[in-house]
Amino acid sequence: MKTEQYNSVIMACHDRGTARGMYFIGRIQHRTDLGIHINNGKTEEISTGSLAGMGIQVFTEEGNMGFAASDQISVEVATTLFDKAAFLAEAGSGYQSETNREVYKLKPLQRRVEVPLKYPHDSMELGEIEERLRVLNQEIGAMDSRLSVRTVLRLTNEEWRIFRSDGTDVIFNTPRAFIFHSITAKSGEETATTYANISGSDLGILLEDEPQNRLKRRSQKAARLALNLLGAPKFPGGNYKLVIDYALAKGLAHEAFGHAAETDGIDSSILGENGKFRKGMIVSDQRLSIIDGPLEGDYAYQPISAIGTERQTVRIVDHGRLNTGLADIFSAHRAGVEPTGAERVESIFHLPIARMSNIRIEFDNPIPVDQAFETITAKDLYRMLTEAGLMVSGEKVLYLTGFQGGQVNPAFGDFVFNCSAIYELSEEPVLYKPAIFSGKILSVLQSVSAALGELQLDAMGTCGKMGQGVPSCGGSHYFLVIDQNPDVTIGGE
Amino acid sequence: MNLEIHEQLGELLRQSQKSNPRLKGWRFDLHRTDGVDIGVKNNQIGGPYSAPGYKQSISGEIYLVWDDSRYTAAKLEARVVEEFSEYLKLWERTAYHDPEGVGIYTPESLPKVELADNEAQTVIDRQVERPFELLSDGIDKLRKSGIRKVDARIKCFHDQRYLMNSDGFQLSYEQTPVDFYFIANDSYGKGYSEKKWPEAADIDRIIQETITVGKQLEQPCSTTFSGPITLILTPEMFETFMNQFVITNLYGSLVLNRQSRFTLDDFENHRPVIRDDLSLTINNLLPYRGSSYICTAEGVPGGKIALIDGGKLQSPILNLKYAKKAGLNPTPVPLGGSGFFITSREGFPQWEEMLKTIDRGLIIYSVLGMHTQDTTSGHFSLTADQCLYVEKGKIQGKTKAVINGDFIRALNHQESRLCKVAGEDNPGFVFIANAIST
Repeated sequence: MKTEQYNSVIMACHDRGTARGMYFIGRIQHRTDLGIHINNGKTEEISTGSLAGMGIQVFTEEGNMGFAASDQISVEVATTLFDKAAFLAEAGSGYQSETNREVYKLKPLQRRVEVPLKYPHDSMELGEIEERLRVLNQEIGAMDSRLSVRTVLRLTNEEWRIFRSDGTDVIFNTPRAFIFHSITAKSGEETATTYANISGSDLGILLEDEPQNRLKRRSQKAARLALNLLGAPKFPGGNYKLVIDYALAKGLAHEAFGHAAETDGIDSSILGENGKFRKGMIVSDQRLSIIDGPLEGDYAYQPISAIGTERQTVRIVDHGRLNTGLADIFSAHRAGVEPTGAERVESIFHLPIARMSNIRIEFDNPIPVDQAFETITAKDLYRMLTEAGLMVSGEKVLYLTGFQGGQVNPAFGDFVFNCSAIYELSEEPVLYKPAIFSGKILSVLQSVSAALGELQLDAMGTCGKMGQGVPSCGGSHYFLVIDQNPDVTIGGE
Repeated sequence: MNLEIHEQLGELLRQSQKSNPRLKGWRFDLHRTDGVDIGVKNNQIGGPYSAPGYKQSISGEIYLVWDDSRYTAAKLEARVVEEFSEYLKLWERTAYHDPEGVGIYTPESLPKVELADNEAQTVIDRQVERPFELLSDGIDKLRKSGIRKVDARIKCFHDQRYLMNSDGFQLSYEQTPVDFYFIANDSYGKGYSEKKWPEAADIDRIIQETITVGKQLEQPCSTTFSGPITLILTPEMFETFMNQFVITNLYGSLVLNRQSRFTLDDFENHRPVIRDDLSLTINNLLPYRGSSYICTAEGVPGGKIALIDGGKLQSPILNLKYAKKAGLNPTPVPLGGSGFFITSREGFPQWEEMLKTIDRGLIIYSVLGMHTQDTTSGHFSLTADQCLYVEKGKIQGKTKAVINGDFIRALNHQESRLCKVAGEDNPGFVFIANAIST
């Protein structure tokens, strides 16, 4: 791997750390990106980018911290950065900066994790990749003259080497790939935009039949939805019984619980009390669990944390009970939980914070579904729900489909996420424009009463906590049923 | 560190163009940046998530024009000179065919804009205690005023920008972006984003407003409501709504690809889209503004241009490619979500005067979910998690609501109003929408 060449740089950091009597964590990153943008059948741009750099976090004996980073890697740069970071750590101590000595408790780790790529990013000629994407894009546009389609393929090769004063030296890679369609239907003044995507770790998302067929089914469904949304009415806002798909369930897990369970914010999180994680609190039906952890081949895969510890799979909610947080080394002890290797960074220019990887909601004994998720219509869903006794004819139940992103304020317990569309379920479901789903962290999970279908964990996105964009992923069973709850509101007319 | 990286890169590209007849032209935009970044979390400077930091980088973008209408678009990084031959091979290999692509552009003239401040440069070079002091003083003032929890951050950078192209164009200038903000009790934050070190009065204004609103948002109000109500957007929130539902729809790439609310015909016919007293202008030439610049990476000069005048569409925001496709001149572009100005030919009252006229309304300081909204439709459905309930002209206290409406329709409505806020470029905006208390 490319980062193996920097032993002398790491030695220079050790020398500097010894000379100055300071603990350090160093991060070296190598990253290359390729992006292809197709717009309505034409290549808009093919872009490339790369970054190679290093960041050094230093700690004084008292626990004051300084940081320095550069997009150059050499012994000279490492020495300069170390001294800059040390200077800032010492300068901060004059302003009563926060101290933290938790890193001194870490145990050394040497590991090398190289994710093997079945289809490396150069396993196909660029022209052929471009042509395949163009065809994918045109197939959607050809469905209806009112559609316009933007398609993006992004391939990222990323490699990290993380080293510490205590002899820790780990190398790992986090390759990732996605194809994303943004589909706009336009008729007169009316417009509607929907999305379809597929993600993974390599070019297999474009070369293998299974992901390609899945993407095509998703794209066709999203295109039909965009067209049907033209002229669709708005639904009256209020509190309703809901069914959400797995991508929205990922939004629920990520926004409603994941962020609030990150212990770096536990002082002000609704899941904290007097600075401690509220372990043991009942937050849901006992059939429900929320789990976060890296999955190999996943878009958000990261096996090692940004401080060089192993990332653990964490049961945040275990059968209805709040179990443990997503804990970074700096806040775990204070929050009363064990560190879980949750530290991630966007790049060498950033400081590690506690983050999710792949987060999912699992429900015991889900209702089996014998159809592929992408082929299930609102009418099919109505039939499944009534057959399972989860709704009765004439009952007002809304089906929210398509995740459009979300946001949370963990300090106040408020979260939102948006869907692409709303159906009022019946023998002949009625389509409505999307509306925000908002709720309170501490009550929404209580209302999840059933799940349908197997787990589907590829709802991808980018999480932007504290201005750092890192890949996120997750999901749930095909569908979750959420009972009417005064703390869960659908915006609308 | 190589001080003349831009000159070396320019020379390597000139030599490549001589030796490789397929390479017809090139331009690059290179930034050499360094500076400090210090944060405050939970009332304390530094700590693991906001430790004082120093960052340096060489970044930018390069654009190459090849024969047969092929183009390269790539990011630049620090190793570009030492690994130039490898990069050149990569760039040619990743060139794409675009019959609508554009060549190299050289501006006839460039505006003069003040963008670099000696004081900010001095802070980076030898007065690093000053950002610490700014934060420390701010924490003291906020805490003494009764704010329980203060979070903050300051960034002070120096950016040396180099632009060159194969037609002999060269531009080099410095800028010194300084950004800081304070957040009170996780509920309200106010910031500064200019290209100069702030005056004491700027710092004081931001701290005082953070205190005032932060404390107001500590007083809960038990009212409930459902249905039409007056929404009062602060200037920052008005800019956020404008960016999401108006500015985005003005980008030429979306207009010409049928992904905008508007069509090119709408611009050619100067279609009325908002109320006829309202205008929207971009201006990148104000001294030391965070959104000001001399020219874009393509070489298009910054400037002042009306996008909507008297409620009617005037011009999309056009880079070179979409200017060519539209048969129009390229335009300045807004930078970083700011640099646009909404004006009305009608007079409008001060914020405080306007508040007195509100029978029942919500002052919106923050919304959750704006990035999830469909930019083309104008419809919004958001959670306003930090707002103040106003009744009979008086602030009653903090509330939360789910708000819904049509922002474009509101911009057309005769009863929607603007109001002036001291120290802000853009006005506040007052309109009727639906809200449910939560």
